[in-house]
Formats: sequence, C-alpha cells, structure tokens
Amino acid sequence: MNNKTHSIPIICSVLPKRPLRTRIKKAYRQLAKKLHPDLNPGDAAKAEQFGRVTASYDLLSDPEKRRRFDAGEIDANQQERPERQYYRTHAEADPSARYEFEGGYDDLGEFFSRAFGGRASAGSRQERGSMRMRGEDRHFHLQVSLIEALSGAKKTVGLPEGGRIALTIPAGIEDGKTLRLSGKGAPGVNGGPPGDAYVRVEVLPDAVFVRDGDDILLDLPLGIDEAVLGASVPVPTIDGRVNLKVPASSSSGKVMRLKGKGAPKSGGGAGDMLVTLKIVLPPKPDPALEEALRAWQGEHGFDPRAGWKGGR
Amino acid sequence: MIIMTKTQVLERIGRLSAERLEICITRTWVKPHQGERGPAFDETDLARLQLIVELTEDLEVNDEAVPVVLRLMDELSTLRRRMKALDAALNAEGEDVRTAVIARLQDRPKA
Repeated sequence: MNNKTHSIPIICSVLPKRPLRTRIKKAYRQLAKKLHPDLNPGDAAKAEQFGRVTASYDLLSDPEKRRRFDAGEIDANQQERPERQYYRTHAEADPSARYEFEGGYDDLGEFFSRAFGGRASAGSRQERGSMRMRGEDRHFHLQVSLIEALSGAKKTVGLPEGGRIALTIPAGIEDGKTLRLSGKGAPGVNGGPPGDAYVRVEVLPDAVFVRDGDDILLDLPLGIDEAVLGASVPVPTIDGRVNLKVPASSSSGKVMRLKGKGAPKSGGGAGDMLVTLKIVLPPKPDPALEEALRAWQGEHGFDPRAGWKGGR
Repeated sequence: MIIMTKTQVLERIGRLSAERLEICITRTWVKPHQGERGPAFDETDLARLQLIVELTEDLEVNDEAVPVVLRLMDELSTLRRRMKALDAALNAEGEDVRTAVIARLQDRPKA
C-alpha cells in the first residue's frame, strides 16, 4: 500500500487502517527515542512519560483494546501496567558484572585510577605496550541441592567446548552466591594471563528442610498419642538423624530448637534447627479414639480458646 | 533467584523470536551464564533482551549499531555504578570530609 490511499477516504475506510497505524507507530517511535528510560538514566519524569506513551501506544495498536476504549469500557489509566524494571536498574545492580564496560580509569585521574583501576573486569583489557591480552572471564550457573549447599560438596561445571572444571562448594553457601575460580576462564592471548571463571550457585529447594538465614526449619508430623503422652521422635538433620524429645501435652505449632543443627556459619559454629510440631490425625475416623475422647470430654473440661484474642 | 531457559525467555518476551534470540547470543549482545543444560538467563539478561527488542523494533536501531549502542549504555551504567560506590564511600566518611569535597567540586570552574 502506498501513500495515495490517504487521498481516497472511501477506499481508506474499507481497507485496514494502515496509514493511521503507520502514523501512530511513527509518533510512538519519535517519543520513545526521546523518552526511553534506558536512554535517560535517573530521569524519573521522562520514565513516567514513557510509561504513559507506551500505555497509549498499546491501546491504539490493539484493535480489541481500541474498541473497548472507544466504547468507553476502559479508560487510558486502566492501561497503565505495574511499574516496569528497566534494563539499567538491573545493570547497575548485577553482581556478576558481566556487562560492565572494560575500559580503564587511568585517564580519569589519579583518584579514579587508584580507586577503580584494579576493578576493570577482564576481557579485552590490553596490557600496555604489547598485545598480550587477558583471557575472557567465563560465567557459569550451577544448581546444587540444599543438602549439598549446607554440607559442602565437590562439583564440576561443563565447558561449552567440552571438558569440566572441578570446584568445591563451601559448606553453608547461600542461594545466588558466586564463586570465583582464578585463572579458570578462557586462555590469554599472546601469552597473556587466563581470565577467571565465576560460578553462580543456585540452591534448589528441599522437600523437608527450609533455610532461614543460619537456621533450618522443619515441620514434624506428630501423632495425637505422641503429642499427648510425649515421645522421642527421630528427625533428620544435615548430619544425620537425631532423636527429638517431645514433652507430654505438646500443641500443634509448638517450635522446638535443636541447637547447632542449622546451617554452618562462615565464622565457625552453626545456626539451629527449628522443628515445628504438626499434629496429624488418622485419615479415617477411629472409633476407639472417638470413644476415649468422648469419655475425656465428659469428665474434663478444657477450653483451648480461653485467653484467645479471637473470641470476639 | 529466577533462572530461565531459552524457551522460558521466549515466553516472557513476546516480540522476541527464537532466531533473534540466537543472534543475540552468538553476537554476545547478551551473555547468559553457562548452565549444565545450555544457557541460563537471569532477570538482567531478560531485561537486556527486552531492551534489544525495543532498540531494534521501536527505536529503529539497525543490527550493526546494536553493539555500539549497548557498549555506550554499558559504559554509562558502569560509570553510574562507580558513582554510586563513590557516593556510598563518601557517605561513610564524616560530614567534614563530605563538606570539603562538595566545596571543592562547587568551586571548580566548569571545564
């Protein structure tokens, strides 16, 4: 379709509304070039304007939304989506620094050179007066189980060209932490030093243990007899099974602390394991249990909601 | 931590095709971590891909110019990151240090 359709409104009305859409798109592009938040870091006013422009562009370019807007079913404000995170927000916080530029700071002056010079990330950084180049850093992502993260483990990561790098996961590592393996990146060029390997560790959730800082949380199912009479119940910990002494008359939700059975702390020692009791009844009504409790109910009054703030 | 495969990235960014994603990876416009089963994208990679889509689809940046634009943006965000680090370092110092530095910066004739 060419621009002639502009001057023939009758044809235009039966054709798809291409010229109008093209004009809307053009207008959007012009505004986006001016207002895109990644091109205007730190300018909140432009970011807000861009959000509104994007919302109205979405509205105008979606025929269904457009119809509902024209019919008054939605207004332009309802188009606004939750605040979006633009790239620069991530780039300025990314701990892996994969996208940091590799230029030097020496020309910025003595202070910046001293403060930031040594931190320029590897890659194409050239050593002065020669073409020796440091190899590229490599970034790996490794999934480990919570048990491996808590106890420590020996693992390997696969290289894209084959072969593997061995590494040791230190006991107690937290989700998202990155390990640096010096010299395990790509080889240097012309006798330059190799880059480093960075391994970001993702800790997968466990079926029973939940980590909470230095503590480990565990839900322990308990029979009504155990809760009433007290019991010694085996519970799993990261260094094997221990027997937990549940005192007589323990309520559901009671939290018991196993000292030193939590996550290893970096400075030595360990957190605790916090065991939450969950009373579990038999899956089907049990006549004997019902009878015993009916007898108990008749003779002993106990109001579990005495002193409860919810009794209003 | 949110980690995504190629398929999950394509689901999250409607306007990105599998072919364009491959181009972004092979030209190292985006550098995902190397996972055991192929590239592992995080939220930073996702936002960067979203930005690349907007640059090429909305802002009419052609493919030859994409690395130039990304490089300048990386330089800007690295410098902003350093500025934030400097700001944090100065804020950790006493008020007298901050006042002295600000006075020197404001005295300085504009270059």
